Amino acid sequence: MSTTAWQLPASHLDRLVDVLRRDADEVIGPRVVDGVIRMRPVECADDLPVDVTDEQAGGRYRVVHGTGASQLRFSYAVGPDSLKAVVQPPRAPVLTMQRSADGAVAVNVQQRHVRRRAVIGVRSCDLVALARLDRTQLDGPYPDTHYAAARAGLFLVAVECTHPAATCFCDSVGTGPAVEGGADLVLTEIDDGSVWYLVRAFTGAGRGVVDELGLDEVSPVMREHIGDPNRPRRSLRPDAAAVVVADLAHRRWDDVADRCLTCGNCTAVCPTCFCTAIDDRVDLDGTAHRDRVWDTCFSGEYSHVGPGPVRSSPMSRYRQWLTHKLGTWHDQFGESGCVGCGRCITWCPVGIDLTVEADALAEPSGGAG
Amino acid sequence: MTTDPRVHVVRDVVPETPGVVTIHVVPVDGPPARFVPAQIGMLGAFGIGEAAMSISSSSSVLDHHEYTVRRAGAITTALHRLRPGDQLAIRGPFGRGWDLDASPGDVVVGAGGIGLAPLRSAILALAERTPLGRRVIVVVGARRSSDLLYRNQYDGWRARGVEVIETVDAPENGWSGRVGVVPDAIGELDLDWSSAAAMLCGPDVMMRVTAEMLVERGMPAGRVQLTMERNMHCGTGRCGHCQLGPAIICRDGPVMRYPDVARAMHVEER
Repeated sequence: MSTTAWQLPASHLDRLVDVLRRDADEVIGPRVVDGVIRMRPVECADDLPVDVTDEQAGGRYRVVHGTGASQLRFSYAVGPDSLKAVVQPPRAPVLTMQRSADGAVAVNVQQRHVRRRAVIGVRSCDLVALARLDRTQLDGPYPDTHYAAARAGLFLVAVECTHPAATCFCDSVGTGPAVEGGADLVLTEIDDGSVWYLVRAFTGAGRGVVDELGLDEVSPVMREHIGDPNRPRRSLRPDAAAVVVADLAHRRWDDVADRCLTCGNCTAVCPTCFCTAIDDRVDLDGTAHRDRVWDTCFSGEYSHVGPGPVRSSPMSRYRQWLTHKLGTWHDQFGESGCVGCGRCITWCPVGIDLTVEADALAEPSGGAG
Repeated sequence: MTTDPRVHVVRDVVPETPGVVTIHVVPVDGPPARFVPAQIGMLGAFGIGEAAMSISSSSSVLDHHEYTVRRAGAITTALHRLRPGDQLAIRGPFGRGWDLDASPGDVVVGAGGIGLAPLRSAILALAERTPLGRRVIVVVGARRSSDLLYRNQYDGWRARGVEVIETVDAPENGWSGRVGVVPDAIGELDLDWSSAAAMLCGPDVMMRVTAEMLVERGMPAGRVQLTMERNMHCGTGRCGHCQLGPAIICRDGPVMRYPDVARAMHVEER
């Protein structure tokens, strides 16, 4: 189905949003909020950023507004938000419990409604990340039913990534930049005098939207615009999975721990970091609430067992994160936990770069850790 | 299979060693779930949180489940306050239990302190099925004799053909039994190590030392099973907390085979 392509003039982007809004409970897309491109509810095409780019580096993110000359709406890389927050919100109710005067306990499980949500502007790295997140939450005997309900309601409009950040490296880990699946529709933003979108449909639902919009097919020549010759500049070494678990006493673990603030920003922005905590509390009226909230392996409580945390030092916690992300994720789920989006580099307050750490870990330790 | 909690009613609370009780529960909505020894239940302390506990009662007597709980933090303290008739929400059973037939040969069960709890249901099952000529030897270690868990049940196990060896670190006046740690007591056994199997639960260091010794004696490493205690928070393999190197303990365990955790057990965490 993806071999056929259609043309969506920029002026028709509003109609696309309208169709999505009619079928979905919510349409989410990129918006500039407090100087950051976030994924937020959108109501019309004008909510999407126009003539906005971004600058990303280790520990640095800036939105740059153009001079008004450009009509491009997707000329920036990923911001801090991914699909993770859509399918697994930072805080989500699981159940409530009541206890009556005679001690009887009643459990009210939160209903798993399929909430239909369309997301515009998803990049290839995040589509791959969603597939990897799926495996962590849906594989095995106990699929997470809340996650499954959120996932089932997604309609994804991907956008080919034409402006990669200086921090991302999808091409070196095989997750982009070209969208190869996982979305309902894929847009390529093209400016050849006027801005228009080359549209491909990967699913029947996506094709349905194309038909409803009455788009014109475009010639094969124009399809050559798919994909972009821009190459991300960083790269993750191909043997990273082996390198990070090779020497767990490597001196570099202490070196990186000296810089790491254990703030957990990397795990919050990571599109695959799936760790959650079960948070129980009691209201003033005596109702017990259980929420599922994002957690981070950088917290002290995370590894708590009877005698205390298993990993109390920043060294142990950073090592847990990186060895899991790049190494033991393969053992657990058969693939890497890293999709090369670069968010953990950009949003790390001290700019720790996992590609650099992996390179350093590949060098001989030069001494005991 | 549902991962939602079932409300259980407390039928009995039995004091065990200091700071340890065994809570007997039955679901209010039907019979208790079938389980494999060492599978875990997530016991809910109302409004405080959940604690992962192995079911310690017999897997063939299914009119109730028993959980042996050591008071350690806020959740287990609340569980200790439960009285007969109280209700609590429990999820599970989850995880992979003991393989009771890892070998046709003798079985060594090594328990340190509260570590006997996830082994009790296995011992009861082995006592039921052990054919003549297969020894089941339980080595129970504790700091003091008063910390020997289920001590009033050992004679019952012995009557069913199970050998029970007690050993303590710090003997009190009147203790005439063995003094020393579990790995040493197991090492002194006269066994055909190459055909035997082991099931271990206790502090990490006790299990590691015991496993190393068993392998050195000639027991195939894959026949050494151990239950790992990590922060099992969801019980269903979804939350990440109980990772141990490549393993997700609540999903791949809590019973693990030694080769699958040996490297991670030797990593120095700090």
